[in-house]
Amino acid sequence: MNELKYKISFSIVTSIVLGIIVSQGVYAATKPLTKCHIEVHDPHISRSMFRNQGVLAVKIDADSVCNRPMSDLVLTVEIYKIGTLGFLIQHKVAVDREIVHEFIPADQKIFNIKTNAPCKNRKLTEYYGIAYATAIIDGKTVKTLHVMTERNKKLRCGT
Amino acid sequence: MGANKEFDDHSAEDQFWIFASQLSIENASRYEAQAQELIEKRTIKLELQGIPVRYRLNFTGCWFEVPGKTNNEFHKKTWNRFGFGKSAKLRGLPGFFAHTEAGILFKSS
Repeated sequence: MNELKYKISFSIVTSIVLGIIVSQGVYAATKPLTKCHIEVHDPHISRSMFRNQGVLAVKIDADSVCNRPMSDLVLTVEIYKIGTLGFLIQHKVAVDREIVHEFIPADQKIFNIKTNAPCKNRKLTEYYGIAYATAIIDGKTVKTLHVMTERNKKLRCGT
Repeated sequence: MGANKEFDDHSAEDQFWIFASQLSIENASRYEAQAQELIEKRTIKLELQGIPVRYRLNFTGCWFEVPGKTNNEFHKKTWNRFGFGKSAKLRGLPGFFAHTEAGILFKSS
């Protein structure tokens, strides 16, 4: 009796394990993993803007890359400043949305490096940035998570 | 698209800001008049080398939009904060016009 119970339970466990292995194999064969990556660089005073336009401005760059071809990409970068009461009061100071309706081949980097907020004075102010994207991949709208800059930066740039 | 390759090297980025600087010098009086008009009307529509663009003021800043074929479609959206007051907006808008116009004209030049 015990032997029969053991045989039945062994066959159930085996079929569950086989089922999982088979289903994983089928999944891997039909749906390759989509890997998209957004990188947001730290806030900085744009040297290029100052050198060429004589304008002091805080700037945050971001880039996005995906291992699958996509279209209708919207890559958004937002710059925030932290107010005098710290994280309780934050102001959005700039938004830039790069919208690419055309087809983008796999692994092509898309840059958003024009997001800036001109300084009004030299007051020490803390900044951070957020970037996120949406795109159509394999006919479906895919959204990325909101990615924050690695570090907040205090810059002599009041906005 | 401006975001793709034009800024792969620093010299191209420099060229963009030189171009924006030229625009702000050449069109200084137009940008000032445009800022006044925008403050009065809250929204203005322009054409830059045949490309329709729209500036829209809100409470603290200004949106620059390049609409697409349909109402909900856009090719570009940029917003900058200038502050609540009229004078803050008047100060900030000319530079914003130069920067956003450069974004459109630099690609087609």
